[in-house]
Order: sequence, then C-alpha cells, then structure tokens
Amino acid sequence: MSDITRILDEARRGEPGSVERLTNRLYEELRQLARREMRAERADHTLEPTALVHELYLRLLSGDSAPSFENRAHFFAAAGHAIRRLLVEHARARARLKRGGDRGRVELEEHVLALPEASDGRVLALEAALEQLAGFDPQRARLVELRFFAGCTAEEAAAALGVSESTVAREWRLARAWLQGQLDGPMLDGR
Amino acid sequence: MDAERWRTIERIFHAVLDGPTSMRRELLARECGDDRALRAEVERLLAVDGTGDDLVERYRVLPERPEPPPDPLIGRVIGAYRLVSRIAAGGMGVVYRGERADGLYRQDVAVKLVRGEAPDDHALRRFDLERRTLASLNHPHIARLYDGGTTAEGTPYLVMEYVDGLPIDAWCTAQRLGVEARLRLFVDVARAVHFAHQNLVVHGDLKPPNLLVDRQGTVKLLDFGIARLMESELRGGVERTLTMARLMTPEYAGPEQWRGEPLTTAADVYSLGVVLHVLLTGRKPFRATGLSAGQWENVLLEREATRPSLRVAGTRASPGEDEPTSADFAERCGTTPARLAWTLRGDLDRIVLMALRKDPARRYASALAIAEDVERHLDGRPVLAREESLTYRLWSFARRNRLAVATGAIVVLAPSVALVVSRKAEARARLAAEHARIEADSFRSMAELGLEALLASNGLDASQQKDALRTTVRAQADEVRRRYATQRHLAANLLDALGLFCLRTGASDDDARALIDEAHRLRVAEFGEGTLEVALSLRSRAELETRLGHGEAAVELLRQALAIHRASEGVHTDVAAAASDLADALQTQGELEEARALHAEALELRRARLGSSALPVADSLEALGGIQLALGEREAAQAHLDEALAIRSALLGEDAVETRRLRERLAEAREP
Repeated sequence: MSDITRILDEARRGEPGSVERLTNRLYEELRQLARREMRAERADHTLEPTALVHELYLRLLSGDSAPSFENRAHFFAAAGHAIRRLLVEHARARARLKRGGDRGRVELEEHVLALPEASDGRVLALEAALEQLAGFDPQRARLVELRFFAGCTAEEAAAALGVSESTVAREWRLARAWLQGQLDGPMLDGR
Repeated sequence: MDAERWRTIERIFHAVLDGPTSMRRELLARECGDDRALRAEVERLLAVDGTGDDLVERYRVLPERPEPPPDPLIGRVIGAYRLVSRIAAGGMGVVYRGERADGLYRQDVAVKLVRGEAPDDHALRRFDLERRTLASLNHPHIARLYDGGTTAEGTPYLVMEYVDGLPIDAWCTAQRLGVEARLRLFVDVARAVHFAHQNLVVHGDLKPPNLLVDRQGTVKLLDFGIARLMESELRGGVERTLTMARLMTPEYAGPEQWRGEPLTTAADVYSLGVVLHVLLTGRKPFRATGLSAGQWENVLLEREATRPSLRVAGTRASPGEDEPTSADFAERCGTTPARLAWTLRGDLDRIVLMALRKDPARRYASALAIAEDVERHLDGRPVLAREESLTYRLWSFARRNRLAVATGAIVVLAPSVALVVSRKAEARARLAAEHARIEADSFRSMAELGLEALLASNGLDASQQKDALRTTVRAQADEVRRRYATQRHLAANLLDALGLFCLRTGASDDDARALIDEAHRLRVAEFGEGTLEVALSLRSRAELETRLGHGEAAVELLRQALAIHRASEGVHTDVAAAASDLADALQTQGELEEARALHAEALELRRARLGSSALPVADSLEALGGIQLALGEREAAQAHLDEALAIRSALLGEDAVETRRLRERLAEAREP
C-alpha cells in the first residue's frame, strides 16, 4: 500500500488531522509537479489546474488497484484545498507585483501554478466569499470548496464530508443561493 | 453575519421550500415575525433558489469528473433491500446504503457485505445465532441490527440502522464543544457499552469512526459485536490472532486484546479510555505509526500513559503531524491550553489513566463504573478513580528491572555504571576499582530504599505513599551529597539514579527533574560538556521529557547525546544504542526517514562489532523493517524481517515470543 493510500485510508476512517496531513502533502506534491512542468515549458506558460491534479492523481494512485470510491473522493477533496491555496497565493502575488514590488515577483516565481490572469478576480472573489461563509458555517464552506475547487460531484462531496447525499443536496441549495448574492456583486472582474 | 442568525435563515429557507408553494407567504410571515431584515434576506435567497448553475460553471476551478465505473452491486436487491450507494470499504467488508426494495415505506439502512471466502455450514449457523443476539440489542444509542443472511453467492451480510453523522471526535471539533459537553457525550457512549455488556455483547472495536453523532447531537454506536462476529465465527481459529491484530485500529486496543487474548468487557473499558483521552486531548495516548509490532507491544506493555493535563498544557508538547497542537486543540474546545490543563488536572487525569491501566483487573470494573465516575465529576462529587498504588508501581518497576532485582538491587544504576568510562586507561582502572567498592555499597542502599518504601507504603493511600517515597528519596539524596561531597562523579551517578527511580516509580516528576538536573550539572563541572558522562545525563533528561509527553524535547536531547557518542571515537562506546534510542524517539514523532537512516546505521555498527547473527542485530533489522513497511518499501522490509527471523529462530528458538511476533509481522508484510 502506498504512503498516500495509507493517509487516504486514515482520512476515510475519520482519523483526526489526517485531512490536513493529506492536504499538506498534496500541496507540496502539486508545487513540485508544477515546477517540473514549468521548467520544461516556456516561461509565460500557465498550468491548467485540472491537468495538474489529474497527473498527480495518476502518479500517486495508479500503483494501487482501483482506488476505492471514498479514497478517490478524499483525494480530490484534499487536492481541491491545495489548489485553492496555490491559486489564491498566486493571484495575490500577481496583484502585488502589479502594484510594484519585488516581493510579488519572488512570490510569483515560487507559485508557478496559475490560471490566466483574467481569472484572478474570480478566484479572489470566491476566496473572499468562502472565508466569509466559513465564519458562520464552516461545513457549508467546505462543501462549496469541494464543488468549486475540487470539482467534486454531490456523491463525492458526501463521501468526503462523511454525510449523506441528501444532506449535501440540501446544504448545496442554500449555499448556491447565498453565493449568488456574494459573487455577482461589484467584485467581478469586468466580464 | 453570526452563526445563530444564519441558522435561523437556514431553518426558514428550508421550511418554506419544504412547505406547499401556496403557503409560502404565510410561512414566511409566521417564521419571520416582525424582523423585516430577516424576511428580506430569506426572500432574496428564495428568489434565486434553483438558478445559478451558470455561476457555478463560471467560477468553478476544477470541472466535475466523469463518474468512476459503477459498482456492479449498486441496484442489487439483497434481502428486503436494494443497494443504493457505497458508504465505505474496510478490512472486514464493504458497506452500502440500502433502501427497502418493496417501497412499502421509506427506511434507509446500511448493508454490510462480509469479505472473504464463503464460510461452511457450521460457521454459518453460529453466525446466525450471534446475529440474533445482536438484533435483540435495543438501545437509543446503539445502531440497530435489523437483519442478515447470505446472498445467492453465499456471502454473509448484515442489515443495520443507517446513521448519517460525524465521528464523535470530528463532531466535537466541528461544534467546538467544551469539556463538559464532551464528557456528557462520552457518558452516553459508556452507558450504551454497559447496556450491551449486560446483554453479553462485547464491542471489540470501539473508536471514533464507530461512534457517530447525528445532526441532533445524538451519539450512536455502530458495529456492536461485529468484530467478534466476523472473526470468531467466520474464520478459523489459527488465523484469528493475526487477523484481529491486523483489523483492529491498534491504538484503541488494550495490551491483552493486542496479544489476541479472548475479548472481554475489560478490553472495551480500555478502548473507552482511549476514546476519552482523544476527546479531552485531541491525541491518542500512544502512537503506533511506524512502529514494528514488537516495538508497539513494548509500548503497550511498558509505557505508562502521560497524564492528559500534561499532554494539553505545554507549548513544547509536540504533536505528531496528524495531531493538533495544544493551542489548536484548546481552541477547538473553546478555551486556552492553560485553562484546559487546569480543567483536566486531578479527577479527569485519574479517570482516564484508570481506564488505560495495563492490567485489565486494575481498570474500572465495568463501562458503567467509568460512566458513573465521569458523572460524579460533572456533579462535583468526589470520583472513585485513584492513582495506581505505589506498591503496585514498585512491584511492576521491579518486574521490569528483573535483572537488578535478581542480584538483590532494585536499581537504576546498572546502565550508568556500565557506560561510564574515562579517557585515560589508568584513570579508568582506578575509577573502576573505586566504583566497584562504593557502588556495591550504594546498590544495597538502593535495594533497601525500595524495600523500605514498599514496607512503609502498606495501608497508605496513593498520595500518602508518594509522600513517603519522596521523603525517603530526599533523605537518600542528602546522604549521597554528604558522603560523596568530594567524589562528585559518584554523587552524580547516584543522584541521576535516584532521579530515574523517582521518575519510573511515578513518585514525583518534579523531584526527578531536580535530581537529574543536579547530576547533569555535577557531570558538566567534573568532566566538561561533550563528555560521555554528560551524554548519560542527556539520556536521563530525554526519558523525563518522554514521560511528560515532550517528544520533541526528547529528540533534541538524544541528538546531543548521539553527537557526543559519535565524537568520542576510540573510546568503547555504544553509538549503536544511542542511535537506536534517537531513532525510536524520532519514530514516535513521525520522522520516519531520519529514523530509518539511524536504524540502518545502528545495524551496520552492530554487524561490524557483533557479527551478523547476534540478537541486537536482529533488533535493528526488525526496527528497520518496520519503518520500511510504514514507508511502503515492502521488498526491502521483507528482506530485513526475514533475516531478523532467521537470527531469532536460531538463537531463541521457534517458539520464543519474540520469534513468533516477528513471524506474524512478516506474514502481514507479505499480504498482497
């Protein structure tokens, strides 16, 4: 059993802290992977998070015979959180660079995973909404993260959160309604 | 927005949507009352309900993936139920959510399909019998077992109440429950366990994933008696011990259960102790990560759990990487580390430690007894849990130091005497003679000290016994200082020994620290920093830090000690032992890579000095193999474990405990 499968199993069993551990691990893996890809590509190339996460998935889990549904769900959930951290850090660094400042440049070089610049606004708006939501409803914030950053289906989200699909459907309904008020506001990136 | 306001909005939002469309206006008016802002907010949310999927598409970072290939069992009808989705897959089987196939009424169930080969008729009959006993367990905090049988293919299955909830520790975190609320949940768990015990059912696998809390905050115990049902009835006896060991979550099983002895209610009491420890500190009493089966057994049998109040207090108490820091955990309980430690100190320390005792007979007599003791604490009445008596501690201390006792000395001195060396040969010879004379003397007095304390402790309660022992030790220390005022290296040896004595008998951690530190200072003054004598003191201090739960500090001290051993090349010194000590400490901290390197080094050193077939070589091989297994390096691990097995078989015999344990470990490693 690979190291990553072991952590995934711990996450599935609900071992405290295992999710954080998994996320940190994937965060580092993603950065390494992104860095390697970048070295092979042109300097202004930006990496598609989707492709990156999938490559990571294949690399880390292909050794195991058909990862279980729950392990798959936990993997993408943790990867989603890692992606969120990377993208937000990147978008903020790019904003600082625009305002002028070498700190931004250094950070930008460190955070090589990126969406096209045009989407920075959306990432930051989503991040702001998520942070706000986490303040009064952490579980719903987690669900939104799973749907937006991890691309989880309702079923996968249910498995990752350890609740039923019907619970997820119910929570998602209000979350989506609330998000509309937050996201389609003035923070939009001018599209 | 605050959480309470949000919950109100949530409630009204769903109430309106669940109600008939024609009643919306009335429902809104009734629920919101005069609160116009509330009503406006809910109306805004209702207005956009059902729209916004394009919003999701625009903001989504990762798209949804195509569904994984469907499980062929989804949709199958088993008994009266149709399998709807997969909930979990574990060591014993796969669990599905099911609903009634006839649709007569709505009932969600969990259907558990047992993994493995089809059992024979005899086993099936016993399975049926056990199943009926379990089905009669009717308790508000125990998930019901509804039904069971075998599928057309002959796979046994069980149908259980479906619980939609979070593991108890995750629930406490999510709700930021304080200590009192956590204790009340725990009391429900312990009482439910007792109810099952009265019905002659032992759980055998109590741990948070089997203790789910639903949205109403009600805790439900899952899989009662399942461990036993699956194990003893469906599998042969030979394989049993091994499978039990593999299937259990090791940290929640008591020493006797880990050894594969028959399950008793006392095993559940131990597991309850671990659960309570986790709820109150965020950590398990001991971590098994990366330890070999042999090392883990050693921890379970020999290491006393640290008091929970000490685990949550210090900023230096370093958690493993999968455990929260003291500050994080206290925050999850809605308090600070200092306040949490204060709350746990005393009653709760004693309650947890009593449940976690090594000897089943010395734990709480029943799950009810621990429930009632926690309730006594909640009511502010005196609890029954007492610290382990000193007589018992001294006795087990003596048992652990068999060799010393056999020679008439309950003593901690032996290792230090063996290791202390001097740089100059002639000085070494002179000192050795002196040691032999004076320490023969002090051996006796230490033996007397132990006996004296044993006799004096008769009829006293634990705290009086401790006072008595402390007084004796202090008097002894004064005597040492007086007699060896001019031979400071000897005074240091004896004071260090007294400190370890204090520590290992649990007489007083504070006195232990004072004595060990005093010996440390003396050795520094006498021999200088960086000498082997000082390395001994560093190792004593590491033992103290380990006991106090300060794993990181212990690692730091052992690093310094190892550095000294390395630098003292040419002098006869056991670098391998120092490296192994450090590796063990690193391993419990989860630093597997570095621990592996150190074990590998110790192995080479031992091979070079002792040849390829000595017992210490086998110990190193086993430790190394254990880590490699944890790191997923299966082939290398097997090779090392094989070699260790060959050495032990040859030197200890096939039936020695150490040999058998290793053989099981190896069989486990070979599992596909």
